[in-house]
Amino acid sequence: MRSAAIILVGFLLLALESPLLYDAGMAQYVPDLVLVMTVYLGLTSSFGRGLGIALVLGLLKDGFASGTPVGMYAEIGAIAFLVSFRLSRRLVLRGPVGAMLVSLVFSIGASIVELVLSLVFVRSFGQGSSGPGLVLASMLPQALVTAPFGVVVFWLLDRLDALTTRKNDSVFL
Amino acid sequence: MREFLQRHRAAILAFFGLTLPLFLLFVHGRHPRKTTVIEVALMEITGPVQEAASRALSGISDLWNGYVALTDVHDDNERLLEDVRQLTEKADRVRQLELENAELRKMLDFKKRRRELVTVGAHIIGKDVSAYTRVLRIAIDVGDDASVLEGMPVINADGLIGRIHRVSSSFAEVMLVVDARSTVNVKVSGKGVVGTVTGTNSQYSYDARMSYLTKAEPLAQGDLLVTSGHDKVFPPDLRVGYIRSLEERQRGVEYELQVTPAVNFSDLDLVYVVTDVVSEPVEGGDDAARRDQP
Repeated sequence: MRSAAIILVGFLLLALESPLLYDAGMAQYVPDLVLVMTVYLGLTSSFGRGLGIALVLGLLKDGFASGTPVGMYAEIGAIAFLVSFRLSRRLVLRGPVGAMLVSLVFSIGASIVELVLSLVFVRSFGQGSSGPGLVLASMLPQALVTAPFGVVVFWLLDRLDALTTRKNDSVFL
Repeated sequence: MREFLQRHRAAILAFFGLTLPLFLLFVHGRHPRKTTVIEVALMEITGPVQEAASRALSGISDLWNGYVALTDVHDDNERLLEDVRQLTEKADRVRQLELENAELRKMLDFKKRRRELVTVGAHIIGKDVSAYTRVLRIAIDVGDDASVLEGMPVINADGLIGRIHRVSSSFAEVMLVVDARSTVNVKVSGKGVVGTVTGTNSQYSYDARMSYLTKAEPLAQGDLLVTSGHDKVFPPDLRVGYIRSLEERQRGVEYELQVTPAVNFSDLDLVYVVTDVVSEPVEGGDDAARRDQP
């Protein structure tokens, strides 16, 4: 139930994200909502289920994203989940500032992983307007855009958890 | 084996979780131009949802732009309405100035032609209006102080308006030529017919009638009537009116004709009181009067 709800929310967020940001004139820097969801899963879910959801969400993002080969965001999602899952035993996250900081750091990390994967696996990387320069230039702005959305997504999933698992305490906010 | 899998479950899952996307990435990164089954499947899943989301947001956006964002349009409308009001006010003022300018020019021409007339300019400060919006009597802002006396002719560039009826130090009242008490000695311009124009006091229109004894020449509709100067009240050759119809009515030994005044009494603003007549020849005389005939 919880897994299906999270996948559905992720699916809807991905579907709405693009036209919503385009209408708002923010199409250039898209917040990585799926990444934030994956980090949340790593911090709160069991290993197997969380990894599965992270892969599904990553694949869905691959489906929505144009210009990147399938597998790119699934791989980034898997790595992000594993890292956040490892961190969950040592990291106690409280409050919106914490959510923003985690989202910021993971977004920068995801951009670095995307750059490395693109250099290794994507043949056409560097041709035309895409290339390492573009990824590096948009890394920080994208992280700054993602950070505030981290608070929103964490709150949303926290409420979703409260609804599906009947728990009353909030983990993050 | 089962024990091994259970013990290393996390590591195995992590291995597959990391290698499966890497394999996909490898396949799709190497042959970017070939559409794979996975890509088609993803497109089939995401396409309809993306389309529906786009339509829904587009509808919301239209709703926002069409209704909620209309607050700006309301403000713009208010501002534009204010602009229109101000511009209309300006245009009215300009039109008024143009009319006043035209009237003053006409009066200047008249004064150039009739240099022998000594006049005092005056503004209309009051009009007595009948129930049928006909002006019966006017008050002007000059009086004794400006040497205005009872009986003095009041004119504008169109012709004779009337005469001063009552006068105070700063104001005067004018009896119009259409007043039943008013009589003006006239002649038919260019024809040897003389008579008297008397007001009718009609409630409905500005009317006067001309009484005469005999006519030396046949009269025509539209013939111009000008002051003859015989009564020593009005200087000669001031336009008084036009013959409206040739239907004569006999009253005793006199004949009567309907006359339309030369002046539009409803549209008076500036008038001139003739305070004196100096002996200087009239330019054109009857010919000038005839030239002004409509």
